[in-house]
Amino acid sequence: MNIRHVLSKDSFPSYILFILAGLAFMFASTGCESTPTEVEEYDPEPVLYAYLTNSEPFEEAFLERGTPLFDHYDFEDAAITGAEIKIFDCASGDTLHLMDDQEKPGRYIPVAGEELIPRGRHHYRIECRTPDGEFVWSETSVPVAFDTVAIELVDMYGTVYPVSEGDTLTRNHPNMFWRWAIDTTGGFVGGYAGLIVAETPRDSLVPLDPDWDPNDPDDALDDEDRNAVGWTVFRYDAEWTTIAWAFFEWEGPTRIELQAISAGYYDYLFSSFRAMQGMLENPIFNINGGLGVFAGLSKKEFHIYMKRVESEG
Amino acid sequence: MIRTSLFSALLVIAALILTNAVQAANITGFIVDASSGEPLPVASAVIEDSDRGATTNLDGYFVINHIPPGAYTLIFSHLGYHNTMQDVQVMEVMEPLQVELQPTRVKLKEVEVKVKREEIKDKRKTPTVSAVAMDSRLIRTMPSLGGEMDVMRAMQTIPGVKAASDISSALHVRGGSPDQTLILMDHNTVYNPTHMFGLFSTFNSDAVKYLELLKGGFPAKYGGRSGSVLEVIMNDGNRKQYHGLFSIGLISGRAALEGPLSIAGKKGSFAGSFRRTYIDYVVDAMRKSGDLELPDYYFYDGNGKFNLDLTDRTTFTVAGYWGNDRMNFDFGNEDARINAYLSWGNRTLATRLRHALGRTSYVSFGAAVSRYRSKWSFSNEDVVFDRARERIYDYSIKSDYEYLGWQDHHIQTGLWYSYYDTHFWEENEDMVYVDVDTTAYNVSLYLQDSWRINAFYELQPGVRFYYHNAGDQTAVDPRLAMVYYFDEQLRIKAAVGRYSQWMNVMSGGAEMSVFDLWFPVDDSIDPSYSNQIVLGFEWDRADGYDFTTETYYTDMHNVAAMRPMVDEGESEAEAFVVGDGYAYGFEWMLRKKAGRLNGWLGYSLSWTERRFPVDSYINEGEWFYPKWDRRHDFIVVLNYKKSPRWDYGVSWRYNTGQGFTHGLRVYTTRFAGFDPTDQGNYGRTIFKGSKNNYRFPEDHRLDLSATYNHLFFGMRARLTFSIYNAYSRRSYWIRSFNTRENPIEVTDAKLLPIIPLINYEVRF
Repeated sequence: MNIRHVLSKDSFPSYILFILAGLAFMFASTGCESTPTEVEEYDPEPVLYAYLTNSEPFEEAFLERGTPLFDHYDFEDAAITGAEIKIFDCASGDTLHLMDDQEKPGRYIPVAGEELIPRGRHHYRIECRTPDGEFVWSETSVPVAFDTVAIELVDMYGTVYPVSEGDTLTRNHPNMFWRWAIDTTGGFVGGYAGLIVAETPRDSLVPLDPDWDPNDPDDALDDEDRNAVGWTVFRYDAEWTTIAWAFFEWEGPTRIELQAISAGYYDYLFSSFRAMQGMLENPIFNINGGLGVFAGLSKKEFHIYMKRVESEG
Repeated sequence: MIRTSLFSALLVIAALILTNAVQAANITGFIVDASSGEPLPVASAVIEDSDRGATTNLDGYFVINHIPPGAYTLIFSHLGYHNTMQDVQVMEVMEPLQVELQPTRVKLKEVEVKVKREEIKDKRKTPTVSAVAMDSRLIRTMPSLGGEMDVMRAMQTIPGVKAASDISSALHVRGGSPDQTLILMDHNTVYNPTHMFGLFSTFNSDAVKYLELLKGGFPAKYGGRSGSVLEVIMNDGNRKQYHGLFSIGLISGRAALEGPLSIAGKKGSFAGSFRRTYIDYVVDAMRKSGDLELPDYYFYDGNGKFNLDLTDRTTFTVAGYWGNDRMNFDFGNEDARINAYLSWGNRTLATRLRHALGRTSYVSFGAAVSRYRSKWSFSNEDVVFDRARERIYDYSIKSDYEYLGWQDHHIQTGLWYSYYDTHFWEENEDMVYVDVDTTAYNVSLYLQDSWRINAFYELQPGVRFYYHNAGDQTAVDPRLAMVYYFDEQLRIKAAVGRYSQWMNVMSGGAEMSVFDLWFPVDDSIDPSYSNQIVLGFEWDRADGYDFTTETYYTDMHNVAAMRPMVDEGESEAEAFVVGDGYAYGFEWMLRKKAGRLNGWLGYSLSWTERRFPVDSYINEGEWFYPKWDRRHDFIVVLNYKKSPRWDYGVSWRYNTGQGFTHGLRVYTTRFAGFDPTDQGNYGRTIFKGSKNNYRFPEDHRLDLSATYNHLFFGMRARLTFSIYNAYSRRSYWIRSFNTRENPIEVTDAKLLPIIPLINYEVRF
């Protein structure tokens, strides 16, 4: 078939349309779709969490494997039990062995008679071997304690009102500022985290929103609406910050906590934000061979009472 | 070495000119629209009964060179216009012709429509591959979201061009990201040309005269981007009469005015248009009628262009654009209000002087400034959670020179200078996270020749040299295109080349281009570049059908992405991470450009992937499919002129699903200082797999339009009814996992349902 002759005809050959349609069908049906429409296979890794707090005896670690995405999740069902876990001071070699908490599968507590009190500027390592033979480990350092931490209220004129332990505050008070000082030499401080935790039992939480009406069915709170914690993270060179009243959601006793955190924990918290923004798929874990976090911190707590202001409307 | 190469190139050009002094005559001229005097780009001028001819450049100017003096009959033609024949006495010295073409018109009171499919005599095709030109009149007949025709959405109907979603007007051309497409409006670079978070483009289609998309393998006269080029030429204005239009739709209103201009005895034209949305007034009314928390949002834009004919060969033009989007949203409790504020916009101002130099040359000089700025903040009264601002100033000077004095050669050369001044600043919780301030200038010189070797072969060699002062960097982009003509209608085209890019975009998200941040390359990173190869076949029938098919391969290097873990930085190397990519595919397109029924069918099959270093934390250093990777795309766009009063439009699109990162398992996240059970979701967290490891189901959508043409108090009016997504198949956008439910509750957010729209336009 002479292509010039065929294609130079005056009338448009209808069979060309059939050829084109056939080409389209061929490519559509055999187009080597190499990306799966189903979710990929995944061999679940151990998930290990353990935190070392300066000057506080180490209490617990958690170990699980998670559950498939669409299954009902229960930590005890997902837990890994019978693992060998130990934490030791890299310098002194002092070792803390952990054992299963018989009342809570997946929770590991110090073996009776052993104790570990983390110290600032010390390095620690955790090692875990599961019954399936998996080995996961990590290392962290612990920051020193804060030199000073102050919570203040500052109004629009710059007048400073120090906040004391046990004070009663409302969201109508001037903006809250946190200031702190800590020895950062040696790079033990990777960043800071701030927590605002409502300490009233969850099922009794009352919103600070002045328009909230407990008798209005539209204002009814479900269990999942009762989020008692707000947190944020700051970079290693921060020395103060403002905390918006929007972070305070609930009436009652409230714990404000400032943490100096290790670099691995800062990466984890900051990457958690990035994951929420869609810039990362998952937070950055620092557990080798698995998921989770092994981190050190020092902290300073304040306790205040948040009072709800009734609506004027 | 770069300076030596530039000097050598200039010497070569001069030698060519001097040694090929014109011996025979040249026919030169301008082809314009008879009703408005607007220059017509890509119009044809051919000598009857010969294979000699030319097409006009973007200013409507043509040259047919090396013609022995004598009497000839010239045929001038352009799609949408009646052919014109003109007898010309060709002499060694002659003034440029001024040719007017009458547009094909359908008289409103005629019963029968007579649309002639006149033979399009277009004897000389450029070797440029992957070029798709579109007349603005065709865009106005296409059904579109909002009832308003949109230039960028029209481009998305071309095979090889994909949209990230139904609500995005950004162009992903042959696997590239939007920043890899150079967008020129009246020869001036435009950044982030979108409104309403990508729903509409900044191009007011009423003001657009001509546009052309070069999907790849573009010639050396274009540079600075590694993927493709979109050239948009705006209306010059009617040089003979005053005309205007008013238009009102459901989302925005438009007005335009054009007409002749006379300054100090010089004639010219002006054209201006303005558009504003009134969503904010609608929302305000809704807010007053009920206790609704809705954002205040509006956008506006305007175009202006003035042209003055200093002589019959020289025209001076000033063109400008300004536009802005603004959103302000207050929400939350009475005593803890959150405010979200966003604002972004473009402004451009360009001047250009173009001159037909002698009988063989055409030259243009231009100076322009383009500014894009965006800012956003999230705050609670006096406490700012997060805020950022970004701006880019692009000052440029461009000169282009075309020489057609050498038989069978069309030499083009030019010098572009651009100075960039960019700044991005982000503050979070009173701490400045990123503060990147970059200035740089870039100089590029190009040289290309369209060389018709004989009746069968045409070559277009070219080269583009760059110098970038930041980092004292240079680059050379060789380009080569070739055409083999079987005959007047059939040809094979090929192109190969390297394409450097000196601007990087830090994208704030997959959809919202308002958060895209532009930076010229600084001394801490290298420019990105691609190597492309394209092979295509074209069949251009004289009765208005044409068929093209192409296959391509592109590899990309130093592709930049925002470093996800950046929390401080003053250099681009700290803010960006660079990686590699590739794209390849196959496309075909069948177009019918004349007749009552016109439009096109198109199909593309394509792959593209990206990869970034392991320490970037992007997919752990593994290859992944970006969000805009879709395997198959099929599109049908048809317009039918049933009668002088009624036009109908239909478009149907099918595409396979785009990628999404899916979760794999559930586990408990634990933080120091509180128990997971203190949280609403009890600490349940999704562990996700590799990036875009899942595909949404395929999408398809049907859009319809019907336009009623009539007279409104003697003025031409159009009432357009359109239905977006006629059978309401809502495409997948995002899959979200609600961890507050146990088991996890999955919700697929889908995009727009069926939307009936109406638009009314009056022209005077």
